[in-house]
Amino acid sequence: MCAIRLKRASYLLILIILIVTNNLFAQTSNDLFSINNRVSFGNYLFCDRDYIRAIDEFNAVLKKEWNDSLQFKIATSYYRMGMFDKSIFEFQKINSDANLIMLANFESIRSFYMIGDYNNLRDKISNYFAVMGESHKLSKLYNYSLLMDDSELPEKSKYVIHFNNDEKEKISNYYDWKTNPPYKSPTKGALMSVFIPGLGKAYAGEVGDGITAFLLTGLFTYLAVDKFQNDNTTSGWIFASIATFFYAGNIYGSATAVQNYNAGIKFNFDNEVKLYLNEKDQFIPTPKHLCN
Amino acid sequence: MKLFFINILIFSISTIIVAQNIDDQKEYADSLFIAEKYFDAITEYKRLLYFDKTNSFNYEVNLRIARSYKAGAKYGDAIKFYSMAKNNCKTDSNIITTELEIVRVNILRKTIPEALKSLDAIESSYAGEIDSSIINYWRGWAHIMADDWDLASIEFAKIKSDHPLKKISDEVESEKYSVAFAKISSFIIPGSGQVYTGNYLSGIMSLGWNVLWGYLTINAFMTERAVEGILIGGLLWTRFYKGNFQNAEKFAIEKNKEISNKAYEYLAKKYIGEKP
Amino acid sequence: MRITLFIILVFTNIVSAQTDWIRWEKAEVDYSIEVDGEDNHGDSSSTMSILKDGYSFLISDLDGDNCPFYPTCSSFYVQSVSQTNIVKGTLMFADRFTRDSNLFKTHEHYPIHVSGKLYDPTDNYQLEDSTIIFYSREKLVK
Repeated sequence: MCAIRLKRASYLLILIILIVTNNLFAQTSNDLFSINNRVSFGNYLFCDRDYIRAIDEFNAVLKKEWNDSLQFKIATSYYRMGMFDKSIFEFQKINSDANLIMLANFESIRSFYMIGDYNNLRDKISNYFAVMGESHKLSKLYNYSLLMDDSELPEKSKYVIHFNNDEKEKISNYYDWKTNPPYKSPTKGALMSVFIPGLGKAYAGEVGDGITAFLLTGLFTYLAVDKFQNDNTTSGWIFASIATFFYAGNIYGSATAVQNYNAGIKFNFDNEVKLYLNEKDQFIPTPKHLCN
Repeated sequence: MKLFFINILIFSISTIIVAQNIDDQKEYADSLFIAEKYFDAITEYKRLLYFDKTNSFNYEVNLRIARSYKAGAKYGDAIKFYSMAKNNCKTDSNIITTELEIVRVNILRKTIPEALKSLDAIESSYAGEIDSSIINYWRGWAHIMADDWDLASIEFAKIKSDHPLKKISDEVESEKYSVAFAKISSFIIPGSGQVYTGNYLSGIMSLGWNVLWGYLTINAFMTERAVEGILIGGLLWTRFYKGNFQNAEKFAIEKNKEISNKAYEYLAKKYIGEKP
Repeated sequence: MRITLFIILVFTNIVSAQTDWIRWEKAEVDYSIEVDGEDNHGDSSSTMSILKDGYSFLISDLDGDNCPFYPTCSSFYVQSVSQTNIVKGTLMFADRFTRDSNLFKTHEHYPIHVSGKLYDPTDNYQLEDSTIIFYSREKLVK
C-alpha cells in the first residue's frame, strides 16, 4: 500500500514539475514581447546595424528593468549613426557597472572628438582623472587634442614625453608644424604683383592665373599707350581704365590667393593629424564583443 | 503510459500557443501595413521572421517588407527584400510576381536598363506562363519613365491600338520640340531657335546683339583696326553667337521637360490604370 | 591618397548609412524630371539687385553659359559689394574676372559645387582669415 502511494506521489510530483516548467517555457519564450525576447531581438537588430529599431527594443526593456549593457548599446547605436550629441547624453546614464563606466567614459570622449569639441574633450578627460586617476592613453589623447585647435602648446620636451617612443618622431613633426607653420605672406604676394603683375599669384601657387593677369594688364596697357600716342584720347582712357582695373584687381587677388594657399595647407595639416589619430583609434580601446 | 500521454498533451498545447503567437504577430504586422505605418510594420515583420523558426512565412513576409520599403520610396531596400522573397518562392507564379515587382521598383527609381533587362529575362524564361501584354505594359512604362515616349507608344500599341497610355505617349511626343531643329536654325539665323520654342523676346534680342557685334567687327576690319576687330569678334561676337544656339538648345530641352512633367503629373495623380 | 582614406574613415558611418537610421513615412509618388534651378543667390542690396537683373536680362541670359564658377560673376559682384563696400567689391570682382579668364583653365585648386561648377564664394576673398573656408577637393559642395 505504502509503495503504491509513494509511486503515485512521485508520478504527481513529476507531473507538477512538467506543468510548471512548461508554463515557464510558455511565459518566457512564447510571448514575443517578453523582456528576454525583446533583448534577443534587439541584439539581432543591433548586430544587423538596424540601430533605430534596436534602440526602440532596448528602451522598451529599460522601462521595465534597468540594464547597463543595453544602455551602452543604445549609446553605441547613436554613436555609430553619427549622432554624437545623443551618444554623449546616453553614455552619461551608465552608472552601476564599473567596467562599463570606464568604456562609457572613453566613448563619450571619443564622441567629443568626433564633433570637434576639443575643449569639452579635455574637460571630460580632466574629470576622469579626478575621479578614476591618471590614464596614459587618455593623457596622450588630451595632449594630442592640443594640436587640433588653437590651444597653446606646452614646451616641446614636456609635450612629446606623453607619447610612446614609436610615436614621438611623428608627434614632434606635428608639434613643429603647429608652432611654426610654413605660411606665406599675403603682403609679400601683393607687393610682388605691384612690381610684376601676376607674380604674386605665382608665389601663391596659381601660375595660370598669374600669367593671365600679366597678359591682360599688359595687353590693355599697350592698347592704352597706342591710343594715346595716336591722339585717340577717349579710347586711350577706356583702355587705361581697363588696365588699371586688372592691375588693381590682381594686387588684391594676390593677397587673397596667398591667404587661400595658407588655408589650404592648414586644412591638409588638420586632416593628416586627424587621420593619424583615427589610425590609432584615438589612443583608447574600442568596445569589442558587442556582437558575438 | 498515462503520464506519457499527459506529457504529449502538455507539449502540444505549448506548440499551439507558440503558433498562435506567430499568427497574432503576423496579424499585428499586417494591421500596421494596412494602416500605412510602414516603418513600424517592417519592425513587426522582422520580429516575426526572427521568431518564426519554421520559416513558414518567409516569402509572404519578405514581400510585405519589400512593399513597405517601396511605399517609403526606399527602393534599394525594397529590391533587397524582393530578392529575399524570390529566394523563398515555392511556385513559378510567385517568382513571376516577385520579378515583376522588382521591375516596377526599377522603373520607379529610373534604373531603366535594369528594368528592361529583367523584362527580357522574364519573357524568355516564362514564355508560356505569362501573358505578353503584361511584359509590353511594363516595357511601355519603363520607356515613359525614361522620357522615351515614342518607344512607349510602340509598346502600348502591341497591347491595343487605342490603349489610353498609347494616346498619352503620342500626344506628348507630338507636343515636344525638336532640340536639333532649334539648334540648327539658330546656327543659320541667330535667334530663330528661341522664336521656334516660343521665347520671342530672347530670340529678337539675340538677333540684335549678333547683328550689332557682327557689324562692329566687320567695320573694324574694313577701317584697318584689326586688333579691335579681333577683340570684338573674338570676345563679343563669338560669345553672343555661341550663347544664341546654347539658349535655343536649353529652351527646347526645358520646354520638353515641362511637357513631360505635365504628363507625369497626370499619370501619378489621375491615371487609374496600374502604375509602377 | 591619405586624405581620401581619411575622408572614407571619418565619414564611414555616413557613407554607409542605412535608410532606417531615420524614421520615415509613406512617400508621395513623383515621376517628374528635375528642372534646372536658377542661380538665385541672396542679393541684399536693392540697387545692385536691379542692376544685376538688368544685366542678366540684357546680356548674361543671351551670351550663353560661360562662367565656370558658382556663384556666377554677376552674382559674385553683387554679393561682394553688399558684404563689403563698392571699392573692395570691385577689386574682388576684378580678381574674379581675371581668374575666370584664365587662359590655361587651371582650376584644380577649386572645389566642385553640386551644380558641376567650380565653387568660388565671396567669403574667401574678403582679406579676412576668419571668413575663409577651405573645402575638400574630394567631395561636392552643397
